[in-house]
Amino acid sequence: MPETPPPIIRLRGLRKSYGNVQVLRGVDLDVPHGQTVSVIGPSGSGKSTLLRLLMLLDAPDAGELEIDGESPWTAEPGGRMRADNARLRRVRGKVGMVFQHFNLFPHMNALQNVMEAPVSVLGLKAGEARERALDYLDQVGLADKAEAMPAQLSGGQKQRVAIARALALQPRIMLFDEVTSALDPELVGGVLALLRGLAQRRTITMLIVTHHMRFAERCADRVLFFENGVIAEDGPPAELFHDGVHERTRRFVEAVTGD
Amino acid sequence: MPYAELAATLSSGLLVTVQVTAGAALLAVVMAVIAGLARSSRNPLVRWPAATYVEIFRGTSALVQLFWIYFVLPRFGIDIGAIAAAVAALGLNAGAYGAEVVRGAIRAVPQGQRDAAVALNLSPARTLFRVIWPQAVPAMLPPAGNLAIELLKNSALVSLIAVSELTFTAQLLRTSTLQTTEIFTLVLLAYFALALCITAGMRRVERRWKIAA
Ligand SMILES: Nc1ncnc2c1ncn2[C@@H]1O[C@H](COP(=O)(O)OP(=O)(O)OP(=O)(O)O)[C@@H](O)[C@H]1O
Ligand SMILES: [Mg+2]
Repeated sequence: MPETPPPIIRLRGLRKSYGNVQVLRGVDLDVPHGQTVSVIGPSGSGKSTLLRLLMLLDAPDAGELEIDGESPWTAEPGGRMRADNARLRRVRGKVGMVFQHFNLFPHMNALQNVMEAPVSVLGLKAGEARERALDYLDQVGLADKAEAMPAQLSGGQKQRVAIARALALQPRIMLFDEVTSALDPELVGGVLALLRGLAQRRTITMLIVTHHMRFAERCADRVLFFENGVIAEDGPPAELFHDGVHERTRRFVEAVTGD
Repeated sequence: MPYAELAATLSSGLLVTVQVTAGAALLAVVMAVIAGLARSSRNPLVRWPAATYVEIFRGTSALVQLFWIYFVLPRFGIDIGAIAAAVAALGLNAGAYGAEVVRGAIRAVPQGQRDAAVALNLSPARTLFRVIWPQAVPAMLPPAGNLAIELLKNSALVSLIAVSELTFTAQLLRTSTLQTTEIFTLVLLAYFALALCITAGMRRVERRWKIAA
């Protein structure tokens, strides 16, 4: 009998509040390595918060968060979460994130944006880092924009630089938070095509928060429907979108696609 | 006394004004950067001393600070002389305002930039020097220019501890020649010219730090 490998993401009872607002109210999730997961759900349901916790940008209030077998947070007797800094950085090294508003460094050109982390985090020599950065810029179709400053790039180009920048660290997990929401409609397709290509390689676990239901349906192995800070429904896209059992997802999809 | 002669006498004072202002500006920049970064720290033990410095030097008058350093410190065995006292008082005073400029500019860098740096696993030091600082500096420069001009004008205060800078020299000259109008018109023009130089210099620095668009 083949052993099932441990999930690369394992969450149990994950909770997070901002002030009085309970944003995540107990999230349980196992994601096997290589899976592409779409995350959908109404505004304010906690999708971005989940991604921020997975990127270790914020600490959870309670629950277990394990990435590739490691738990960066431990609950102190008082209940507060304490980080082991070395572990925090080691785990962050396995995860990459792309943001809705790109968050490129505006004072660095495209190439420098992509090179920065390989040089300062992985310790690559400038020459190697440059080669690697050019390779990833090429993969996102922007080899000719290496010298361009972010302000000179279109939204779609900026987002592709941001994707190259995250990929250049060769993470095991990539998190995408509404990466097409700030783009003009005609630029969305190129970025989605890029994500589809990445998903097909199956070498990276991907969590994609998106409002594009057709994209979620076609490109993901699995869809999570978030509501009120919990995963309300979870399954392969064909089931979630079409089987009639997953009532809440169906209603949400109808509401957002307007049919 | 003809204008040329008045101007020649005043120019020795002008030189001292430039030296005192430049020295104080240098001290102010150092203090502003250190205290501004310290006030931006998450560690209260780092934040607290910087906050104390800023509040004391913003909350009391520059003239009293000058007198305190020049007249009171010697009683505790610290006698640094008039010029050094002038530079110290003016520099520490301007540095306190500058620290707030530095802190404000650091805070104004969007959170998304910090998030991106964490997501790329950059170390906190690397994040500060490679990501935050280069974006904060352009925002600091216009208010820093204002502070530099403010510092120049404040430098007239040090005439009160007999540093022979422009204003002090002018007063001596006035008592000996009684040409009040000529002397203080020249002094006015001299300060104005110095302020213009500071403005022009700051423009150049701003251009150098501008983020290419
Ligand atoms: N830093 C914060 N401080 C205070 N409240 C926050 C913070 N971040 C998020 N929230 C709140 O948490 C709730 C969930 O936010 P989150 O961004 O995770 O939702 P979301 O599912 O991503 O929504 P959207 O689809 O609009 O992006 C919202 O009510 C939001 O106002
Ligand atoms: Mg969101």
